[in-house]
Amino acid sequence: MEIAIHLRVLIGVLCFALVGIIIELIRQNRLKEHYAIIWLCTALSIFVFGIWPDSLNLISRIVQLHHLTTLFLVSFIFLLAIVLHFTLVISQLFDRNRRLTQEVAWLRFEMEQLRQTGEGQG
Amino acid sequence: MGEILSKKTLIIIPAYNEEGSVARVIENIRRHVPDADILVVNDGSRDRTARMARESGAMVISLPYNMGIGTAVQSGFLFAKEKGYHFAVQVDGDGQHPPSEIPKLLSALDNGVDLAIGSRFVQPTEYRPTFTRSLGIKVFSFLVSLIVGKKIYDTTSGFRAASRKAVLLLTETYPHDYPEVEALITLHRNGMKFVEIPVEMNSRQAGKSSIGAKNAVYYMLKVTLAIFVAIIKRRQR
Repeated sequence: MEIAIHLRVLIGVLCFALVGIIIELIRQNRLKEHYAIIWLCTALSIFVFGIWPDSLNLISRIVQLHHLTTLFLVSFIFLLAIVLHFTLVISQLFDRNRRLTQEVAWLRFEMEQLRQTGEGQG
Repeated sequence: MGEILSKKTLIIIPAYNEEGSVARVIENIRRHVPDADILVVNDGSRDRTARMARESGAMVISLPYNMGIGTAVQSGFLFAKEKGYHFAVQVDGDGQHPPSEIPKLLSALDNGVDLAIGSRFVQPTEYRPTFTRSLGIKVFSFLVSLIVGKKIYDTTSGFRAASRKAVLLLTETYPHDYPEVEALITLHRNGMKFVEIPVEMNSRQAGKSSIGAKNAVYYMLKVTLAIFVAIIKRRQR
């Protein structure tokens, strides 16, 4: 499969922009390194498809689909994996948030009890 | 009955914006079970629920924001666990659960069951659910009975008393919304015994049902899914 040169340049620029944004977000402490990995991998795989389009052809031959369909399939599976990953993260955060609210409620209660007994003695 | 009194009992009242009824509920509980400690779990209420409860002499713990009935009740279980209570009874803050029936639930626990459910349907009562609600109740009853292997009529009742063993388990795992049905499966899967005690429930004194028409579909789907998930979930211990 031949990809026009200007399209390859566009893909290349896109990848570098993505990597740039990710690094900047990490630098600004807005993105955890842990989650940056998945985005760096995304950039890398777009880059690979960009400079080496035959990899896509190879996959197309294996799954016996048109290369455009393959591209969509690969992207779709990838996005699906990311969304699943995020749902797992949210579930875990939910559980932790829940415990935290319960701990806060418990500590506040204990604190009030202590303050009352303290006032009783003083 | 003498044995019950020697055991420490915690009454847990999960309350979200129940300033209109919580004081009366506490008063009623004190009249019928004078030896029990009363804990109001204020689930991020925006009204004076916490103040009303405190002024009525109950202990109050407050979640920093609204977390849902499951988390509120579990906070009560955690409290019972930490403070070494033998029994924990859940009573709604809206006044529909009659405190006069609490001793019945407690004596069931004293006979060695792990959970006593205050049930609206074992005997005919004045409680009349709407058609859709009645259908949901029947479906859950059918599913739970199938899994548990004995007839359970009122799977959604939140009027329950739990032994310390059950409390310890439920502090580990308790659904955050619509928890009643799923908790039964969890308890069953962990070898706990439960029994239904017929009670006469009141209509609400204030507030409204936590399940509006809009949420009914979600409620049905979530709980049905949860029942099947609870079956395949790994055991806690």
